[in-house]
Amino acid sequence: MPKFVIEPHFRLQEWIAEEKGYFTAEGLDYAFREKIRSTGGQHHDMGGQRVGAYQSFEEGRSADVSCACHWTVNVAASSGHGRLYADLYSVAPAGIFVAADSPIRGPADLAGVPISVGWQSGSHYSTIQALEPYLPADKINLSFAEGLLFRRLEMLVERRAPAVALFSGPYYFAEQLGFRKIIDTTFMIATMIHGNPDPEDLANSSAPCAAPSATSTCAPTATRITTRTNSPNASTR
Amino acid sequence: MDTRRWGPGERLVFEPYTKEAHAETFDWIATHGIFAEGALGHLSYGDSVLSLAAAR
Repeated sequence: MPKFVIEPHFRLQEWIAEEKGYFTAEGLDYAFREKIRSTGGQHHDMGGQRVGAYQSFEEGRSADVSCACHWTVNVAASSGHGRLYADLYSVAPAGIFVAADSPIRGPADLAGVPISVGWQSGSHYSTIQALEPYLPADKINLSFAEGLLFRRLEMLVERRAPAVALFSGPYYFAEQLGFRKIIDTTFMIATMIHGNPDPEDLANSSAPCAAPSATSTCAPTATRITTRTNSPNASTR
Repeated sequence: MDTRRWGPGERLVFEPYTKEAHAETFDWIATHGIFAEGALGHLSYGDSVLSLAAAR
């Protein structure tokens, strides 16, 4: 049987499970492949094209298991580009960041300001959802030209973008560098299954963080929680 | 970069992504016109998700 293929996207817990050998410990015979690399920021520069997570599903992902924000996985699965794995989801810390010396202090100050997000990616939906209570739609000025996550971080650091949406590792990195979070945009990530992987392999691929000791084994980048937060339009942006 | 200063990161939730969540999400996307009309897909929840728990 061919190896079970995992695409980590930007999921830090999967990198930790890989580095510490947790997948192997679960008996999974697998390959770990980056489709959208997080080990090189230039790969996130889409040349100004409107290309994001959804387009990567349309193009076809070769992994048995991959992921994206739940909005995009939802639409991609409904369009036949894979199946949404309905037994678990995750919640990624996310927010809109500006420079420390920016005059933007609150969400209303973002009216008309270009906010860099990924096209049809988690940052796209979550930014709209977070700002809707503060701004009318015509004042939410999304910019897709800056590309994907690590490119947006780069543009923020180089002061080439006035406001950017970040999540997971780059979120913490920007915070540590002193950038100011204007609003939290935390959102849900869903798992996408491609083809018909062995159910046992599928179960083992999430097992490293499913054990009772998961908080210690996958921390600090992933924490198992059991509180029901399955409300996509409330706290899970 | 000092990862010891980071928060807990992505939180894994071992709860079902329900039919209601799926429908609510789908409606929100449609309402906001993020995809072109007719490009949202037409498969049902049952046809577009996989659940090992439900299969047991």
